[in-house]
Amino acid sequence: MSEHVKSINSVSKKRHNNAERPIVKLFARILLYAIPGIYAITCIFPIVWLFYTSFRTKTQFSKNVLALPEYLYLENFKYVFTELNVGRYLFNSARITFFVLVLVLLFSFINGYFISRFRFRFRNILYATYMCNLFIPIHAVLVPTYILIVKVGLQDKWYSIILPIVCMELTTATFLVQSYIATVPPQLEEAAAIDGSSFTRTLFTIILPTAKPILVTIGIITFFHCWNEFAYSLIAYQNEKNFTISLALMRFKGEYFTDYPRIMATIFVCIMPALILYSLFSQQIIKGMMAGAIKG
Amino acid sequence: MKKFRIIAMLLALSMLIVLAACSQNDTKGASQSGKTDSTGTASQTETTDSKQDTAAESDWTKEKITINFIHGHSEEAEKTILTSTAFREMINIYKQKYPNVTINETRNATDYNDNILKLAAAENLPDVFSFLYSQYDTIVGGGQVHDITDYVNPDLYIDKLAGCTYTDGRIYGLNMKFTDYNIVYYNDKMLKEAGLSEFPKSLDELLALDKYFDAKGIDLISLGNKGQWFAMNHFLNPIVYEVCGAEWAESMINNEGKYKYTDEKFIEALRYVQKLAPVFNSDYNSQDDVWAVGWYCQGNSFCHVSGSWATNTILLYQDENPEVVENTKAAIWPSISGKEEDTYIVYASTETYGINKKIDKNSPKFQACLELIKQLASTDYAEFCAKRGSTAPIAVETDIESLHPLLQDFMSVHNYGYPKARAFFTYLNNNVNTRMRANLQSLLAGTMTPEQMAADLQKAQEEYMATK
Amino acid sequence: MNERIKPKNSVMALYLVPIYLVYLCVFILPVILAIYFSFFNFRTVSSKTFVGLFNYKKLFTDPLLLSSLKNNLYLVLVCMIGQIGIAFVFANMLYSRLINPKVSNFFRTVIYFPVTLSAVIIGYVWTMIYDYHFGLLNQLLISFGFPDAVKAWLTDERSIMTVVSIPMIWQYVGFHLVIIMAAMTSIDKEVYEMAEIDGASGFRKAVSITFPLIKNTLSVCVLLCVSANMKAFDHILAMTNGGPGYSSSVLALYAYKISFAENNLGYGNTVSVAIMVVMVIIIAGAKGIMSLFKSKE
Repeated sequence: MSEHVKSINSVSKKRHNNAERPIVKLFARILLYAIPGIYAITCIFPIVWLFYTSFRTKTQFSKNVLALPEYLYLENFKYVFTELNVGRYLFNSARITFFVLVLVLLFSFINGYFISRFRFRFRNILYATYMCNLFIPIHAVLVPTYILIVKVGLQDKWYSIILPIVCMELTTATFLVQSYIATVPPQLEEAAAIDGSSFTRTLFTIILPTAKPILVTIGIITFFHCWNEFAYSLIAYQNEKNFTISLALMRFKGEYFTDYPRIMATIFVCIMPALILYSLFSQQIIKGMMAGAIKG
Repeated sequence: MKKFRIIAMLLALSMLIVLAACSQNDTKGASQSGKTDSTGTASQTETTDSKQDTAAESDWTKEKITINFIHGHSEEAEKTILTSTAFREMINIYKQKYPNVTINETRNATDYNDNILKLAAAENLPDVFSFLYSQYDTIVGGGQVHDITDYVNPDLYIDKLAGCTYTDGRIYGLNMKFTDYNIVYYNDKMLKEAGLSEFPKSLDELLALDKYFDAKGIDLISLGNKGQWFAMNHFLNPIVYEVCGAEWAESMINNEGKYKYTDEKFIEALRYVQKLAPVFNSDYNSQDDVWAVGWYCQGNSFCHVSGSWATNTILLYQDENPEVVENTKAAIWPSISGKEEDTYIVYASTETYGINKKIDKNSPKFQACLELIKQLASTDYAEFCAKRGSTAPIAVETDIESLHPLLQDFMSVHNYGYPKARAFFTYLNNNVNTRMRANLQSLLAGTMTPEQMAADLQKAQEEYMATK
Repeated sequence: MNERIKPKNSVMALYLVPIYLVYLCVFILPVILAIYFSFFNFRTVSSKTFVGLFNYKKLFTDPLLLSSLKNNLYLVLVCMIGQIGIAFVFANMLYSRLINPKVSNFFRTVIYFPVTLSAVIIGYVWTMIYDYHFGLLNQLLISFGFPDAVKAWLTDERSIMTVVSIPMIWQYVGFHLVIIMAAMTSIDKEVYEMAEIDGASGFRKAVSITFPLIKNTLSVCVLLCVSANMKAFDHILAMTNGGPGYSSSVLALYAYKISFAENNLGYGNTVSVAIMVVMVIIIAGAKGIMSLFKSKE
């Protein structure tokens, strides 16, 4: 192979092809920077626009939509936090996300471990049912789900949507753990068993730490899915006190549609948590979410 | 070692417990409240004598009662919309009168009408809730609300409680709102500049102004029809009454089956409505009503068509846009013929407050709920509204002179004595209602012909009759 | 397998059964219920009347259902071309030797950002962009000298599906971009080097090297795209709520509206069943088509 390459190399030195010509190369380079660059700007500019417009007044905004703020007008944000009480909705979302994270990590680890390590009687059935999730769009079965939620008395509780979201996330997470555990040699547990460690102890003190990388990935995927969840909240919550941030946003918009900067401030505050997390951990987040997408 | 096993078992069991606890909690709560209800009944005598009633009344004011209550008034609305402010005032009065009652409120301002149907579908309505007349089939038909005919006095109300009487002749709640839907708020200064001395009496005259305003870059009518029912109540409603006649429209509302939506008259009415599309702001189908008021107040349109509630919304712009607000006057939406007898005023007595049928009729809780809905649709409410130039289901004396000129203007339109038309959004059955609202958007946008819309509505009507 | 460390059956059951039961209740039970409910007509749960196949007959004569399905299919098509197409082009550009890897990585990071936002936020950000009077899009059109192109984007029924699909494409380009780029890193660099030496242009490289080598990854992208767009709901709800009229209604939204706004729960559940059937058919079809391509290789 390498010899082959060398021989081609020596040939290419003699004839200069198009790609090597400096002008063409420069032109290509400009395009390569410009096209994705412009697209990247369209991805970030709306957010930037929301951000700086949040510091403007309604009148300033209606005169010139694009202009930068003349001075730091903070009333919009003050309104968002005091009158709209966005903090409460952020808290609701955060609380749900926290519990979902804990439960998804725990149960996907357990399920993934068992499915990967052992052959047991109902293994295939278990596997198949968890697979079903990929073919059932929850949006299609909102009506029976809603009736079910009401019938088990889960409606309008702060924890209403925790279990549904856990189940929604479980499938991908389980498969991720399963394929990861397959790479961990079973000798680890065997040695522990010989040392007299109980099964449960081995599971949580020896296997769990080795699965840490995949659990981080699952954590990232679950966080964003849960934080952005909408359909279950839509059917589970009637009381505004329990609204998650997505649901609350839905209500704000209908009501204050004259005051654009104020809505923008609200939207921006809702984007904030994701934005901060993303700018801190973008590489891990991209990797994690991609792993989830492909394996799931 | 054993510890770990136990921990694991606990963890695994926790899920089951959580699930079980959730469902149990609720059934427990329900059965408990059921128990207190039945003991409450036992302490009272069964006769419903008027004297006994007052005895029971003094009883319930001493007991601790919790009422679960859902409504569509947001905190923001309570600051800016008069009916909502009045609503809050009534709740406060009630709380003062009956400190033994705790009201457990659920606010739901997003798609309230859909939400109440959602709750009704799962038979999960709270103790007190508000609903629309078009939802009576589900809520009354599904046996989820108390018949309160024996507890109320219809003579107190302007419409004798026709707006909360179901087809069986019984009364199932009390209406809080009484609203007009086709009032035009126009900029008088612009009108004078256009060379007119008074607001056009006929539709054609009004539409003729479009050319003049168009040249100035001003929209003739500002409309925010994203919520869909605005165009139906403001425009379609009066036009249908005029073109098809009140008898036709009333017959359709009452589902008599005498006429059809495919009748030529109705199609003609739809044609008139379709003609209106060019005079609105071009984004009318994707903007909200609140936006449209703002658009008018900022001087971007000549007029805005809305209901009684808009007066107060317009007055909120007094500081920002004093010039427009000062020049705003009210008129009725003009008829096609321009004749007064054809000029209908679209109204509805709406937002029925009802009591959940699960509550025992003889329990103190029922008394407390009854008192609550009576407070909401009370003379107090009517007076509160009247003082601020708005309408209510109970007629009260008002000193009109002391009001803001715009409110006086509105009151004079309201009291003028135009023939009345019941608002479709409130009274038509839910099947036709949803279709009519959605199709009207398409009709105005020109992607649906009047004939298509009529055929679709007739189909919806037949489906409704089939499933009733 | 691993019999020596396998715990007792009772222990395994304790670990696996509780969450499995919850899962059954959350996902499988609603499906069974939907099928069961679809044979009834009802407004409230306790007053059901059995109507047999009535709802299914209605299904086949419902023009709105058909137009919602069409909208779904349109979304699938447009997003497939838009999301995966743009992502593929960008992936090739950003993978090029001519671009500084740090800059390329930065672009990738920025383009991926919208993926992390919720559909409701995307919907609202874009209603602000599309706003007729104060929207970003119309302002930009005016300032770049195209005042004639200005229009009320979310009002025009004829173009509404395209207008609505743009934010969905915009949001997920980054998603597919990252997947495709990851697949490209697994291609042997020497293959590219050899091609460059042969004088292959960037375009040629993309078509005759990258494309065949990452075909499997692309088919994953296609599947993800199909299933995501068949489920479309939140974006549309936030932007147009299915309107104007029913012009931007999609299947899931239609089922939701039939059930809750029109309070026709039986038929709503029938539409739900129909969605699941269509979904299975389309995904199976897509998989079948792709396996056909694979076997040709």
